[in-house]
This record gives sequence, structure tokens and C-alpha cells, in this order.
Amino acid sequence: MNDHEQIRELLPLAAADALDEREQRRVEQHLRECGSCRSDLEGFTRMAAALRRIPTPQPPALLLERTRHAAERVLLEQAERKWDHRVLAFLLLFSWTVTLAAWPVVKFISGDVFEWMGFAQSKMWLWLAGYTVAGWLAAGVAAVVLGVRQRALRRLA
Amino acid sequence: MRGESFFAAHPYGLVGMIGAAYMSLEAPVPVTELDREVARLRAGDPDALAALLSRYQNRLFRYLLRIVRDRTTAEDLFQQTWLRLAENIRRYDPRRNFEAWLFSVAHNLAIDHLRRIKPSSLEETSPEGLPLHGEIPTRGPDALDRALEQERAGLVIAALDEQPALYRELLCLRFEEEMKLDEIAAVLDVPLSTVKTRLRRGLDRMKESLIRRAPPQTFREGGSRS
Repeated sequence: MNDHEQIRELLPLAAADALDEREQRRVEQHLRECGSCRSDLEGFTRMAAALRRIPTPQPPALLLERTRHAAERVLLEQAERKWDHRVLAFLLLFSWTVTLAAWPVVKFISGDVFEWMGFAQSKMWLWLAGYTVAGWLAAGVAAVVLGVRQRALRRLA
Repeated sequence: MRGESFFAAHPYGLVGMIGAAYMSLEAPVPVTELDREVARLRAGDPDALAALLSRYQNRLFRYLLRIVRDRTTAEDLFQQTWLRLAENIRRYDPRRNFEAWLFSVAHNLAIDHLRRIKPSSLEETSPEGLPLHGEIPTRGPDALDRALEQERAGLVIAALDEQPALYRELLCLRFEEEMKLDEIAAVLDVPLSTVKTRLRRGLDRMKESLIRRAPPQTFREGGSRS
């Protein structure tokens, strides 16, 4: 491909202001000497200007209203889901905190009973673990049940 | 000590405060009206959604109509684009160009639609056809000028509609949306070199279409008037 043909390939991009500096300089240099390419560039430039002036079609007002309502519903559902997750996280964390905080109280109250039943101190950690897991499970199940019930109520509403 | 007992009693609050501080370091500060609207939308504000819809309604609809060439389909895709935007706005990275992201969502939906109805439709011309490797029709040296002078908008729209979807959308993004080349590359998810190649080919094809559609010459070939 000779220089003229290479420049010819760049003319549409020149009309679209899509040349880099080096390409722009090459084209400008060539155009000083080539009337045919100048004429072609003028044609592309006018075509680009015509493309910029095409009338813009308008969307119907009903479409905009429908779209806005549908998208707002999506935002609302997302906000509700986020709230549900936060409530669930809080309930789980609360149960963890309460089980840990209550353990010393439980131990204090029932310590003598354990000794009377013959449980060794070394098994206290086992009891703590079991007590904590039971507390978490109970809180988790309660949170899930509450969440499912709330969702069902929302669907009916 | 009071401070320690406060944090011991409110572990969730402490985690929340650390998270909020981290997030405030990550998100850029909104500087333009558009940035503020996007930030409000990310927070779930429906008024921000209405504002963005109003800002982009004409441009987005025009873009979709250019690609699919059918008003009803463009309307469906328009609604789907905004629903997709609402669903994913929390995953949107505010450091990205919002316009490019919006149009890329529209682009993906439109291209998926075209591929569903006809997998080869992206690169096909309209039924009227166009030479793929154009020989410029011999309609005289001023054919392009005549096409552009007379019935300008109608001929140009018809010539644009004749192009394959790949070129139509690129010409729309460059000349109607006036996007920069790197923004177009982001919308279409293609390299910059591909954008330039398609732009060049699209304009060459437009020229061929316009010359074919040009009104007949009013003087004999060679330049002498009849």
C-alpha cells in the first residue's frame, strides 16, 4: 500500500477527529499536495456533520413512567433485603454476646450442682461449647423463621 | 473503664464504625451534579433515579433504537436497561465513567437481543443490501454532495439504518453521543484499535450507501448541463 492509499484509509478517521498527533500530521502534509484526498476529506467531514444533525427520537412518556416505577420497585426491594440481612446479623451477634455474657452467671448458679453430680472442671469447656452452640442455633433458627414469616407477610400485603 | 466497656457492649457498633471509615476512604468525593446523583442512587434514593432517567432518557432511547431499528424492541430494552442498572447500582464502581457503564449495560442487552433473534444479525446489512467490499457506484463525482444536500436527514438515517449493527452503534456513539474513542471502547468492551477500524469501515460504508441513494444527476456525465 503506497502513501496515498494509506492516507486515504485515514481520511474517515480524520473527519471523525479520531487521529492521533502523528497521523494528523501525516494527513495534513499529504493534503497540501493532493487535491483528490482534500475533496474526499471534505465529503467525509460533511457526512460526519450530517450524522451529528440527525433528529433525536423521543421515548414515549408512558414508557418513562413505567420504567421509573419498575426501577423504584427494584430499589425498594433491595433496601428491604438489606434491612433483613442487618436484622439477621444483629440477632446472631446478639445471641453470641448473650450466651458468652450469661455463661459466668450460669456457671456461678449451677457450679455447685455440677460438683454434686461429679462433673470435672476440665469438662466445663465442653459444656461452654455446647451451651454456646445451642444458643447460636436457637437464635439462628429464630432469625430465619422470623425472616421467612416477614417475607410471606410482605408478599400478601 | 468507660470506653472499653462501651466497645465491649457494642461489638457490632465498633465493626460498623471501622467499616464506615474504610468505605469513606475508598469512594471518590462527588464533584459534579452527575456524581452526586449517582452517589444518591447508590444509597437507594428513588429521586436520584428519576433525575438520571430524565438526564439520559433521549440519548439512551436513541442509542437503542439505532441498534435494534424497531421502536417496540427499543422501548423494552430501555426499560430492561434501567432495571438492570437499579439491580446492579450497588456493585457499580464510582471510579468508572457512569455514562460508559450505562451505555455498556444497554449495549449488552441490545446485542444479546440481536443474537437471540438472529445470531448473524450483528454483521448483516438491511435487506436492501450493500456491497460488502464496496465498489463505489458510478453516479458521478458529486453524488455524495447531492445525497447530503437534498433530503439530508432522511437519506442519512436511511443509509445509517442500512449498516450492520456493529457499525450503526459505533457511528451513533461517536457522532450522536459524541463519546471519545476510549469511552466507546469501554462501552463496547473492545480495544481502541477495533473502535478505529470499525469507525473507518462504518464511514466508508455510509459514504457508499449515500452515493447509491443520491438523487440522479441533473446534468450529463462529464459535467456539461443538459
